Parts: sequence; C-alpha cells; structure tokens
Amino acid sequence: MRKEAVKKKDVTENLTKQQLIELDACVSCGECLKWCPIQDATGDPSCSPPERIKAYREFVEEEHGLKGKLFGSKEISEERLKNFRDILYKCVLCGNCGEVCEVGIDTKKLWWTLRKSVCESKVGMPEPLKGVLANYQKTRSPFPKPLTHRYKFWLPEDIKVADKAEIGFYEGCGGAWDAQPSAEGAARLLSAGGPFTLLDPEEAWCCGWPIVAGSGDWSIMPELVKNFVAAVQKKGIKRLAMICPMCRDIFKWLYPEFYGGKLPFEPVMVSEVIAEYIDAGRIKFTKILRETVTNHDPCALARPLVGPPVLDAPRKILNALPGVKVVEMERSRELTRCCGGSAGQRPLNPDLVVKMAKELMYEAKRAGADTIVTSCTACYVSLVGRTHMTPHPAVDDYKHFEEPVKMNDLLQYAAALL
Amino acid sequence: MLCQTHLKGVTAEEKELLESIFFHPYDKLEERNGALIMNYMGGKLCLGTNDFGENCGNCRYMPYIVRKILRRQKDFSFGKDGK
Ligand code: SF4
Ligand code: SF4
Ligand SMILES: [Zn+2]
Repeated sequence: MRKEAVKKKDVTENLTKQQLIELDACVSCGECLKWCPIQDATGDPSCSPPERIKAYREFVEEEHGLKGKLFGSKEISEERLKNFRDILYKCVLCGNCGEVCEVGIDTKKLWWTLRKSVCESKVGMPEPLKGVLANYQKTRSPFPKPLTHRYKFWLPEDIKVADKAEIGFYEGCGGAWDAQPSAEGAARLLSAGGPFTLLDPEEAWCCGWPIVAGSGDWSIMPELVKNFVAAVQKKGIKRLAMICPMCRDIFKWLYPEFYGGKLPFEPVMVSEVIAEYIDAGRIKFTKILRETVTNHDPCALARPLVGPPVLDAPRKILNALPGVKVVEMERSRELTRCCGGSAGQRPLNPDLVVKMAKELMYEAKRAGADTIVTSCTACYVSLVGRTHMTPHPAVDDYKHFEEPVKMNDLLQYAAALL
Repeated sequence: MLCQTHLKGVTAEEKELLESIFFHPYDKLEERNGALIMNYMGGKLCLGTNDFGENCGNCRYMPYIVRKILRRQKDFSFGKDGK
C-alpha cells in the first residue's frame, strides 16, 4: 500500500508508448559509442546511451514491472536520480546516436523527454542550468540583459528593414548576444535578395530551446508559443527565417504541438531562402576569394527532430562563391561531428566543450581547408567567440589555443563577397 | 585570433550596449586609461590585421557596434599592455 499522501511522479508519465518500447529495444550493441562526441571526449562508457537507457528502464521496471508487483513499487531514491541526472546531462543532444542506432531508437526525442522527467522529479534540473531559467523569467532570453537594444548590436544603418514582409528574420538570442556577425551577414544577404522584416525587439523572445531542451523545463512553452505566433502574425510574416538550427528544430517539433496544429508561418533557415535567391538569380557574388573552405553541418540541421535535414542549401551558397573551393570533412552531412557548444554543456562541462571544438577544427584541417564555416550561432560562439561562460582551466587554455584553421559563419562569409 | 584591440572615445550609450554583449567572464571588457580593451575570440594576439587581411574598422569578426567605434578611431593599440 502506498503510504505517502502526495501522489509521487510516475517515471513513465512523460514518455510516449514508442519511447517505452524504445527503452526495451536497446540491445547494448555499442554502435552509438563509436559516434558519440562525449565518448570521444571522455572515453567513459558509463555516460553512454545504452547505460542511460538501462538505468531508466530499471526505474520503470521497479515501478511497473514484475519487480514492482512482487516487492511493491518503491520510490526511486534521490541518490539514484542524481546519478542518472549526471549521465543524462553529459550529452550535447547531437543525435549522432540515433542516426546510427541499430534498432532505430529516436534518441534525441528520448533525451529531451528524460530531461523533462528529471527536471520535474524531486532532484530537478542541474544547478548550473538554473541561471538560464532565472534569466528567462526576467528577460525572456537565456541572457541577463533586456531585449530592447538587441538590433543595435548587429544591424547596420544601411540595411533596409521593411515594416511588414512575407520574409521575417529572427536572429535568435545567439545572433543577438553571441554571434552578431552571423546576424549581420544574414540580414545583408536577405536584403540583397528582397524585402524582409524583423519582429519588434521586445517580442523577439527566446525560441525556448535552451530552457526546454537544455534544462528540461517545458512549462514555459504555452506562453512562449502564444507570444511568438502573435509577434510573427503582426508583421505579416509567412516564412520566419533563422540562423540558429536549434530554433528551427523546436519550431518544427514542439510549437505545432503547443499551438494545437500547423503554425500560421513556416520556420526556415536563412540559408534555404538565400539558396532560392541564388537559383532565381536575385543574388550575385561579385568579389573573388581564392581559398579552400569546408562546411560544418550543425547537428540540428543534419539530424533534425522532424523532417528532412538541411544539407544542400549551405553547399549551394558556398559553390556560388567566386574563387572558393569546397572540400568535405571525413564526417559531414548526416554524420557530422558536434562542435560541443550546445545543450547546456557550456555551463555544465566546459572542459568537454573545448575538447569537442578542437576535434572539429582538426578535422577541418585534415580535410585541407583554410576556413571552416558553420550555419549555427552556437557553433560560432564555441569556435570563434569562445565565450564559454563558466570559468575553468581548460577554457583559459582555449583562449590561447592557436586554431589550425580560420573559422567563420557561412552567411557572413558569403555576404563579404556580395 | 585573440582580439584585444583598445576601443577609444566610446560614448556612454555605446558603453552600455557593449556591456550588454560582453558579460561572460571570458570576454568582459577591461577599462584602462579611458579605453575599453576587447578580450574576444582566442589564439594568437591579433595586431590589427585579422586572418582575412582586414583591419579593425573592417574586421568581420566584430559585432557591428564595435566596428562602428573602430571605424572612427585613428589610433590603435593591441593587447593588455597596449602594443
Ligand atoms: S545525443 Fe550525441 S552526445 Fe548525446 S548520447 Fe547521443 S551521440 Fe552522445
Ligand atoms: S583586426 Fe582589429 S578588431 Fe579585428 S581581431 Fe584584429 S585587433 Fe581585433
Ligand atoms: Zn534558438
């Protein structure tokens, strides 16, 4: 008989039927360990996908399986939950494991869901991620500063912004606070091809990714979706173009769910719009740059939560640049490496972030590239900006690490050749 | 490249904007002799020509607000001790 007066959280509560089956489906073959960037950086199989799945399966069995029936369903101890949380949050949510999984487990959605369950459990989200949520509650962004001045950081006076337009540009919190050159490059290319508009600065809230996926707190979603849809509609936007693949990912997966159907606008990457402009002859690059460049496919474009990956648009842009020779890295497209800079790893495990970023730079070097370009503001801050917020010796060291290749944002790189 | 160029003649409004974006422990601006010293990116100290051959006023790595200040600047120093 259950003694506690308050109904405890059921460990299966947030999981779909498919996810419950997936917990049982993992055969511990170990294939994903070969592709996981956290494994590359730590060599520690105790934080690998099969170990994580096994641990959660045990929780479910203890509550609902034969064990639970025979010995009574016991509450999972705080210590075990904390241990599980440690291994769950040592993960960049890159989705490489799901891409190679022998039995087709949709690991990325599973990790999101398990983070949600841990966040709602008595142990809650990891301490270092609480700051992000606290900022959001004050500013509606993961950063502590108000939204008011966001366009002043990156928007030059010579770029014309329409009051209303079918194409809207959302630079995201990453573009405004971390990767301003990416935002500027995107706006330059967009304005070269046609009219575009911006959301009102106070209404351009965070997409929610850092709080929902990063920390595991989904409770902000209803308010967020309501605000965003209204802000977009007010500007007459039909396609909302972004430079952060994580924004696109959450817009494609969770927004329709919380909106209650198809969104009244289409979330796209700016690179997709620019590729169309190139095809239509609306953008021409006139300057020549003689160098070899490689394209880094950001995780959320290579392995999105829903729908096909965005792999060709960035390459179409690169191939249109006069003088530029494009080479591919050993791991590109669907099997691209993670830069390490996302999913809460910067505050949680800055040393691992540095290792992953260096690994990616060396891979670009091995491909013979002079420059590596990315289409993600999180990669930009990890590779170029290097503002890993948590003080750590590895990060101090990274400040003085001589990068083997030049690094840039794709749109900014292309905009320089207009 | 590690950018530690000195921003000079920064207005109060610009300073407020700069402080809104450079607030992480690793890229905080340092104030010295009336100038604000950048501490952005990483690697070898840049001496005013970036790896794309651009000078500070045209440096692609700088947020527009920084480039705007650098464009009207005439005298440049680099590094914490002002090379
Ligand atoms: S999502 Fe990426 S980092 Fe996380 S377990 Fe899978 S491969 Fe490893
Ligand atoms: S060119 Fe100037 S602004 Fe650019 S990185 Fe070098 S010192 Fe900094
Ligand atoms: Zn985002």
